[in-house]
Amino acid sequence: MAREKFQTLTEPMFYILLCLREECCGTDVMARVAALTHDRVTMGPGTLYNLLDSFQQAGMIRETCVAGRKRSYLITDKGRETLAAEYRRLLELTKDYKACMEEEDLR
Amino acid sequence: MKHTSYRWNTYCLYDYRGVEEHLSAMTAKGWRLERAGNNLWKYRRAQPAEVLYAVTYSAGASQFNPGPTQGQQSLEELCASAGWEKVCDWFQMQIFSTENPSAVPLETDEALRLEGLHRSMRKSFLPTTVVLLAFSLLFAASFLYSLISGNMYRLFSSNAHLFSGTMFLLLAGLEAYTLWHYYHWRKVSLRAVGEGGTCVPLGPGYRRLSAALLALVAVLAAGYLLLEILTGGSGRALFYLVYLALFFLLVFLVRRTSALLRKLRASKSVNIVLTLAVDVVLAIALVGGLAYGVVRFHWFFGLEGETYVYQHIEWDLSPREDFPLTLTDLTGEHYAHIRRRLFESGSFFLPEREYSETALPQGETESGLLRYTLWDPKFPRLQQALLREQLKTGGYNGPLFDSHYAYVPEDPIPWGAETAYRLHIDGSPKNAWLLAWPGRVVEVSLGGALSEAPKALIAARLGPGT
Repeated sequence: MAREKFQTLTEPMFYILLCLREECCGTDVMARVAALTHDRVTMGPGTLYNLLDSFQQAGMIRETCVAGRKRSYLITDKGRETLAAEYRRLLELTKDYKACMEEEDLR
Repeated sequence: MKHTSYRWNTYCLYDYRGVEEHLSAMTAKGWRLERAGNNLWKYRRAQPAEVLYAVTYSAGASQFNPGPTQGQQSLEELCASAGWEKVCDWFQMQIFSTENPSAVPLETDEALRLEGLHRSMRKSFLPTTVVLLAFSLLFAASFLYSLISGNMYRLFSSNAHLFSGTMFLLLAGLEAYTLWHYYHWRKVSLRAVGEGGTCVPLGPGYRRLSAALLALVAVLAAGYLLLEILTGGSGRALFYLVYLALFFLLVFLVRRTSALLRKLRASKSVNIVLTLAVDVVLAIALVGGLAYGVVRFHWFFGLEGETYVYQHIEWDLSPREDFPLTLTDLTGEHYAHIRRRLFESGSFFLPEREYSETALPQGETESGLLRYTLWDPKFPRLQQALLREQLKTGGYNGPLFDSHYAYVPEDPIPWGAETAYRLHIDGSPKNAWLLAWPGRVVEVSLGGALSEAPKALIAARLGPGT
């Protein structure tokens, strides 16, 4: 079910995995995503909490340490594979877009 | 000036938008939520303010946990960093507030919101609703069977059957409607979210209907108690009031037990097991104690008067005088030892009075027995149903000792009745009759030393108007 669920990633999913290439806590993830996307992608704390939980259950991230109420995470190999697959999918989309547009320009 | 206020919560667990809007409106009026109990929500007075409320769900949360789970703490941390302050939680619902109007919303992905919500709903709300539906149907089963089979006698045979059946049927309807409502809402919301929209608002319809159904149940309960007073006397109504009070006491004590265990930091599983154990023990103690009091000390239903024992039988010191027909009336004899019992039951629509008398003349060893039951059906169809039921069972709950019981029609004229039947056991007539007048049905049996039945006298004493 988890594989099916994360076959394609939404923008928040993509950026969370991207940020977790380096160990960081949920609060840092929120700040990093906002900075990385220049506030284009905003993520509510409830949404982030649910996503971190789902990623962890799917084995795409792992908890690295708990300090008080703060929990830090790091992407796993499976998470990296999913992220890379999403990247390839986005490239395919871009390639198809380009091909179609070039065809249109030629006409 | 009141500083705290309690309100009965009518929102359901998945009505996050309703809860958010309600809490914001309350804060604007100067009331802030302090604690969300299972049903009663406590508010404290504060300066009216524009406060945003938002709720999210944590599937791991439980009212049996000694404190917030790691997941809840993590959520609180995330929310705090986004400017949301935890208010309290209600089952799996986590309630936050902020005074910053531009704070990032708690949930920014509607599909994920629905998924998280459904996970929480499957954790407690849905199983609890299914269990309540099953219990309601179980308790309403007999009533439902009477309704389906059209057995009017069973339907109206007792106030308890009639009212508890209706109440449990209503509760079953409410639980079934709740389940349907949730799944319908989820289906419509999934479609809306799939099309890029948000979860659909619930609106006040469900809340109004459930509140109306619960109010109807309360009215029925009050009506039931009133009918018990009218038909069975205040003793029976008092009994049910005490029973109801004990039920609420049980709920209160069980909740206090769970709260105490939480305070003592008992684990979730220990809390559940101990709370359940306390629930069972208290239920047995309270209900058992009440039943013992009724049987042993005649609570609520009055003492039967003082008795004495003669020839191994308990006799009344002062036999009651309100019997419409006695053995003395029938035989003209004086009895030295008398025992009389009256049991009133039935319903407002079908009152039932069961009289029994045992009497022994001085120096004799064989006592006379007189038993009769009077029914006063409130409408003709109910009388027909009652007669059918009595004729079907032969006045007993089935054949005993493999004997065949049957009421055989006989001439009603000597009785002055509309119809008359005599009981036959294995083909031989017995001194037991089933008699019917408009609005009155009587079952009378004579036993012991009695052999003659003065029909006109019995009819005059037990017929309509007595």
